Amino acid sequence: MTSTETGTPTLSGERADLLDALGKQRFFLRFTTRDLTDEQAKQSPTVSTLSLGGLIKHVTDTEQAWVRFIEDGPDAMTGNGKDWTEWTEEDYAEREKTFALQPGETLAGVLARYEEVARHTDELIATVDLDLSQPLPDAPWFPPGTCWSARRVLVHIVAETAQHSGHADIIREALDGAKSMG
Amino acid sequence: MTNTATLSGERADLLDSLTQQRFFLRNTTRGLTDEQVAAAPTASSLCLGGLIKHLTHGEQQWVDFILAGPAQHAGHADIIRETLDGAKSMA
Repeated sequence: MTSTETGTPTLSGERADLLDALGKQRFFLRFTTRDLTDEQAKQSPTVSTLSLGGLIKHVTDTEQAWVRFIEDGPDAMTGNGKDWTEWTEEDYAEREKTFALQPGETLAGVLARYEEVARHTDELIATVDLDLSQPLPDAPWFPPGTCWSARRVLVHIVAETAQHSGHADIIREALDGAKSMG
Repeated sequence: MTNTATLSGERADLLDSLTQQRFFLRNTTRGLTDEQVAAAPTASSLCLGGLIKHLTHGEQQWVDFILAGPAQHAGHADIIRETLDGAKSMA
Protein backbone atom coordinates (compact mmCIF):
# COMPACT_ATOMS: atom_id res chain seq x y z
CA MET A 1 0.00 0.00 0.00
CA THR A 2 1.16 3.48 -0.71
CA SER A 3 -0.41 5.00 2.35
CA THR A 4 2.65 5.33 4.52
CA GLU A 5 4.67 6.83 1.67
CA THR A 6 2.19 9.55 0.84
CA GLY A 7 1.38 11.05 4.16
CA THR A 8 -1.99 9.38 4.76
CA PRO A 9 -1.58 9.49 8.54
CA THR A 10 -1.92 13.28 8.33
CA LEU A 11 -5.12 13.07 6.31
CA SER A 12 -8.49 12.24 7.74
CA GLY A 13 -12.09 11.71 6.75
CA GLU A 14 -13.05 11.78 3.13
CA ARG A 15 -9.58 12.39 1.70
CA ALA A 16 -8.16 9.47 3.65
CA ASP A 17 -11.06 7.26 2.50
CA LEU A 18 -10.47 8.14 -1.15
CA LEU A 19 -6.74 7.61 -0.87
CA ASP A 20 -7.25 4.28 0.85
CA ALA A 21 -9.84 3.03 -1.65
CA LEU A 22 -7.76 4.04 -4.64
CA GLY A 23 -4.61 2.54 -3.13
CA LYS A 24 -6.39 -0.77 -2.58
CA GLN A 25 -7.77 -0.95 -6.09
CA ARG A 26 -4.39 -0.14 -7.62
CA PHE A 27 -2.87 -2.88 -5.49
CA PHE A 28 -5.46 -5.43 -6.70
CA LEU A 29 -4.78 -4.53 -10.31
CA ARG A 30 -0.98 -4.66 -9.92
CA PHE A 31 -1.30 -7.93 -7.99
CA THR A 32 -2.65 -9.69 -11.10
CA THR A 33 0.76 -9.19 -12.76
CA ARG A 34 2.83 -10.77 -9.97
CA ASP A 35 5.72 -12.95 -11.20
CA LEU A 36 4.76 -12.68 -14.86
CA THR A 37 7.16 -12.43 -17.78
CA ASP A 38 6.82 -9.68 -20.38
CA GLU A 39 5.65 -12.35 -22.78
CA GLN A 40 2.82 -13.37 -20.47
CA ALA A 41 1.88 -9.73 -19.87
CA LYS A 42 1.39 -9.33 -23.64
CA GLN A 43 -0.89 -12.33 -24.07
CA SER A 44 -4.66 -12.17 -24.49
CA PRO A 45 -5.69 -15.60 -23.17
CA THR A 46 -9.46 -14.98 -22.99
CA VAL A 47 -12.02 -14.17 -25.69
CA SER A 48 -11.37 -10.52 -24.83
CA THR A 49 -8.52 -8.77 -26.67
CA LEU A 50 -7.23 -7.40 -23.36
CA SER A 51 -3.82 -8.27 -21.91
CA LEU A 52 -2.51 -7.51 -18.43
CA GLY A 53 0.28 -5.22 -19.66
CA GLY A 54 -2.24 -3.38 -21.82
CA LEU A 55 -4.65 -3.01 -18.91
CA ILE A 56 -1.96 -1.45 -16.71
CA LYS A 57 -1.16 1.03 -19.50
CA HIS A 58 -4.80 1.85 -20.12
CA VAL A 59 -5.62 2.38 -16.44
CA THR A 60 -2.53 4.59 -16.07
CA ASP A 61 -3.58 6.71 -19.06
CA THR A 62 -7.14 6.95 -17.82
CA GLU A 63 -6.10 8.03 -14.33
CA GLN A 64 -3.75 10.62 -15.81
CA ALA A 65 -6.43 11.98 -18.14
CA TRP A 66 -8.93 12.39 -15.30
CA VAL A 67 -6.33 14.14 -13.16
CA ARG A 68 -5.68 16.54 -16.06
CA PHE A 69 -9.45 17.18 -16.13
CA ILE A 70 -9.41 18.12 -12.43
CA GLU A 71 -6.27 20.25 -12.65
CA ASP A 72 -6.56 21.89 -16.07
CA GLY A 73 -10.19 21.49 -17.12
CA PRO A 74 -12.09 19.48 -19.74
CA ASP A 75 -10.03 20.74 -22.69
CA ALA A 76 -6.87 19.17 -21.27
CA MET A 77 -8.30 15.71 -20.86
CA THR A 78 -7.59 14.04 -24.20
CA GLY A 79 -3.94 15.07 -24.11
CA ASN A 80 -3.77 15.79 -27.86
CA GLY A 81 -5.44 19.20 -27.91
CA LYS A 82 -8.67 17.95 -29.51
CA ASP A 83 -11.93 16.97 -27.89
CA TRP A 84 -13.27 13.55 -28.75
CA THR A 85 -15.82 14.82 -31.25
CA GLU A 86 -12.86 16.00 -33.38
CA TRP A 87 -10.94 12.74 -33.27
CA THR A 88 -10.04 11.07 -36.53
CA GLU A 89 -9.58 7.39 -37.24
CA GLU A 90 -5.83 7.90 -36.78
CA ASP A 91 -6.40 9.35 -33.31
CA TYR A 92 -8.48 6.31 -32.37
CA ALA A 93 -5.84 4.01 -33.88
CA GLU A 94 -3.22 5.70 -31.67
CA ARG A 95 -5.51 5.16 -28.68
CA GLU A 96 -5.83 1.46 -29.55
CA LYS A 97 -2.07 1.10 -29.01
CA THR A 98 -2.51 2.18 -25.41
CA PHE A 99 -4.36 -1.09 -24.77
CA ALA A 100 -1.34 -3.30 -25.57
CA LEU A 101 2.35 -3.43 -24.77
CA GLN A 102 4.20 -2.05 -27.79
CA PRO A 103 7.67 -3.21 -28.97
CA GLY A 104 10.24 -2.05 -26.43
CA GLU A 105 7.73 -1.72 -23.60
CA THR A 106 8.08 -3.96 -20.56
CA LEU A 107 5.81 -4.93 -17.71
CA ALA A 108 8.26 -3.37 -15.22
CA GLY A 109 8.26 -0.18 -17.27
CA VAL A 110 4.49 0.20 -17.38
CA LEU A 111 4.19 -0.63 -13.67
CA ALA A 112 6.77 2.06 -12.86
CA ARG A 113 4.87 4.63 -14.88
CA TYR A 114 1.64 3.62 -13.14
CA GLU A 115 3.32 4.23 -9.79
CA GLU A 116 4.52 7.65 -10.90
CA VAL A 117 1.05 8.73 -12.08
CA ALA A 118 -0.46 7.33 -8.86
CA ARG A 119 1.92 9.37 -6.72
CA HIS A 120 0.82 12.56 -8.43
CA THR A 121 -2.88 11.67 -8.01
CA ASP A 122 -2.33 10.94 -4.33
CA GLU A 123 -0.77 14.37 -3.85
CA LEU A 124 -3.78 15.92 -5.56
CA ILE A 125 -6.23 14.05 -3.30
CA ALA A 126 -4.51 15.53 -0.27
CA THR A 127 -5.11 19.12 -1.33
CA VAL A 128 -7.76 19.52 -4.04
CA ASP A 129 -11.15 21.15 -3.43
CA LEU A 130 -13.30 18.01 -3.71
CA ASP A 131 -16.42 20.04 -4.56
CA LEU A 132 -14.75 21.82 -7.50
CA SER A 133 -17.18 21.03 -10.32
CA GLN A 134 -16.50 21.28 -14.06
CA PRO A 135 -18.38 20.30 -17.23
CA LEU A 136 -17.39 16.96 -18.75
CA PRO A 137 -15.69 17.32 -22.15
CA ASP A 138 -17.67 16.78 -25.35
CA ALA A 139 -17.65 13.07 -26.10
CA PRO A 140 -20.20 10.64 -27.50
CA TRP A 141 -20.13 8.67 -24.25
CA PHE A 142 -20.75 11.56 -21.82
CA PRO A 143 -24.27 12.93 -21.36
CA PRO A 144 -24.22 16.56 -22.59
CA GLY A 145 -24.37 19.24 -19.94
CA THR A 146 -23.10 17.04 -17.10
CA CYS A 147 -20.73 18.50 -14.52
CA TRP A 148 -18.52 16.36 -12.32
CA SER A 149 -16.88 17.42 -9.07
CA ALA A 150 -13.30 16.45 -8.28
CA ARG A 151 -14.77 13.93 -5.82
CA ARG A 152 -17.00 12.40 -8.50
CA VAL A 153 -13.97 12.04 -10.76
CA LEU A 154 -11.86 10.43 -8.03
CA VAL A 155 -14.64 7.98 -7.17
CA HIS A 156 -14.86 7.20 -10.88
CA ILE A 157 -11.12 6.43 -10.98
CA VAL A 158 -11.62 4.04 -8.05
CA ALA A 159 -14.50 2.31 -9.84
CA GLU A 160 -12.77 2.14 -13.21
CA THR A 161 -9.61 0.71 -11.65
CA ALA A 162 -11.75 -1.87 -9.83
CA GLN A 163 -13.62 -2.84 -12.99
CA HIS A 164 -10.37 -3.33 -14.90
CA SER A 165 -8.91 -5.31 -12.02
CA GLY A 166 -11.93 -7.60 -12.45
CA HIS A 167 -10.95 -8.07 -16.10
CA ALA A 168 -7.37 -8.64 -14.98
CA ASP A 169 -8.41 -11.30 -12.42
CA ILE A 170 -9.90 -13.50 -15.13
CA ILE A 171 -7.11 -12.86 -17.64
CA ARG A 172 -4.56 -13.92 -15.01
CA GLU A 173 -6.52 -17.02 -14.07
CA ALA A 174 -6.73 -17.94 -17.75
CA LEU A 175 -2.95 -17.41 -18.15
CA ASP A 176 -1.73 -19.75 -15.44
CA GLY A 177 -4.59 -20.58 -13.08
CA ALA A 178 -3.50 -18.07 -10.39
CA LYS A 179 -6.49 -16.61 -8.56
CA SER A 180 -6.65 -13.13 -7.08
CA MET A 181 -9.50 -13.84 -4.73
CA GLY A 182 -10.07 -16.77 -2.42
CA MET B 1 -31.91 6.86 -10.26
CA THR B 2 -33.27 7.40 -6.80
CA ASN B 3 -33.58 10.92 -5.39
CA THR B 4 -30.33 12.09 -7.01
CA ALA B 5 -31.95 15.40 -7.90
CA THR B 6 -32.67 16.23 -4.29
CA LEU B 7 -29.15 15.49 -3.10
CA SER B 8 -26.01 17.49 -3.50
CA GLY B 9 -22.29 17.33 -2.90
CA GLU B 10 -20.81 14.17 -1.49
CA ARG B 11 -24.02 12.14 -1.26
CA ALA B 12 -24.98 12.91 -4.84
CA ASP B 13 -21.49 11.98 -6.10
CA LEU B 14 -21.51 8.65 -4.28
CA LEU B 15 -25.07 7.77 -5.29
CA ASP B 16 -24.37 8.63 -8.92
CA SER B 17 -21.29 6.45 -9.02
CA LEU B 18 -22.97 3.54 -7.25
CA THR B 19 -25.94 3.68 -9.62
CA GLN B 20 -23.60 3.65 -12.59
CA GLN B 21 -21.68 0.65 -11.26
CA ARG B 22 -24.89 -1.28 -10.55
CA PHE B 23 -25.98 -0.54 -14.11
CA PHE B 24 -22.71 -1.86 -15.57
CA LEU B 25 -23.07 -5.10 -13.66
CA ARG B 26 -26.78 -5.61 -14.49
CA ASN B 27 -26.10 -4.73 -18.12
CA THR B 28 -23.87 -7.78 -18.54
CA THR B 29 -26.96 -9.98 -18.11
CA ARG B 30 -29.04 -8.29 -20.84
CA GLY B 31 -31.03 -10.75 -22.96
CA LEU B 32 -29.67 -13.89 -21.29
CA THR B 33 -31.53 -17.06 -20.32
CA ASP B 34 -31.44 -18.51 -16.79
CA GLU B 35 -29.19 -21.24 -18.13
CA GLN B 36 -26.71 -18.72 -19.49
CA VAL B 37 -26.54 -16.76 -16.25
CA ALA B 38 -25.81 -20.02 -14.41
CA ALA B 39 -22.94 -20.98 -16.76
CA ALA B 40 -19.25 -20.54 -15.87
CA PRO B 41 -17.66 -20.23 -19.33
CA THR B 42 -14.22 -18.84 -18.44
CA ALA B 43 -11.23 -20.20 -16.53
CA SER B 44 -12.89 -18.69 -13.47
CA SER B 45 -15.65 -20.55 -11.62
CA LEU B 46 -17.77 -17.38 -11.55
CA CYS B 47 -21.15 -17.09 -13.27
CA LEU B 48 -23.20 -13.94 -13.88
CA GLY B 49 -26.16 -14.96 -11.68
CA GLY B 50 -23.79 -15.79 -8.84
CA LEU B 51 -22.09 -12.40 -9.18
CA ILE B 52 -25.43 -10.55 -8.92
CA LYS B 53 -26.31 -12.57 -5.81
CA HIS B 54 -22.90 -11.97 -4.29
CA LEU B 55 -23.06 -8.22 -4.88
CA THR B 56 -26.56 -7.98 -3.42
CA HIS B 57 -25.36 -9.71 -0.30
CA GLY B 58 -22.19 -7.61 -0.19
CA GLU B 59 -24.11 -4.37 -0.47
CA GLN B 60 -26.35 -5.42 2.39
CA GLN B 61 -23.26 -5.86 4.52
CA TRP B 62 -21.85 -2.51 3.38
CA VAL B 63 -18.40 -3.97 2.89
CA ASP B 64 -15.30 -1.83 2.52
CA PHE B 65 -15.68 0.96 0.01
CA ILE B 66 -18.97 -0.01 -1.52
CA LEU B 67 -18.24 1.29 -5.01
CA ALA B 68 -15.21 -0.83 -5.62
CA GLY B 69 -16.95 -4.19 -5.07
CA PRO B 70 -19.55 -3.80 -7.80
CA ALA B 71 -16.99 -2.33 -10.17
CA GLN B 72 -14.50 -5.17 -9.81
CA HIS B 73 -17.24 -7.76 -10.23
CA ALA B 74 -18.61 -5.87 -13.22
CA GLY B 75 -15.15 -6.45 -14.69
CA HIS B 76 -15.43 -10.20 -14.04
CA ALA B 77 -18.92 -10.11 -15.54
CA ASP B 78 -17.72 -8.32 -18.69
CA ILE B 79 -15.39 -11.15 -19.60
CA ILE B 80 -17.84 -13.90 -18.62
CA ARG B 81 -20.47 -12.33 -20.87
CA GLU B 82 -18.05 -11.90 -23.76
CA THR B 83 -17.12 -15.57 -23.40
CA LEU B 84 -20.78 -16.63 -23.37
CA ASP B 85 -21.86 -15.03 -26.64
CA GLY B 86 -19.30 -12.40 -27.71
CA ALA B 87 -21.31 -9.42 -26.40
CA LYS B 88 -18.99 -6.65 -25.23
CA SER B 89 -19.75 -4.20 -22.41
CA MET B 90 -17.18 -1.61 -23.33
CA ALA B 91 -16.36 -0.21 -26.75
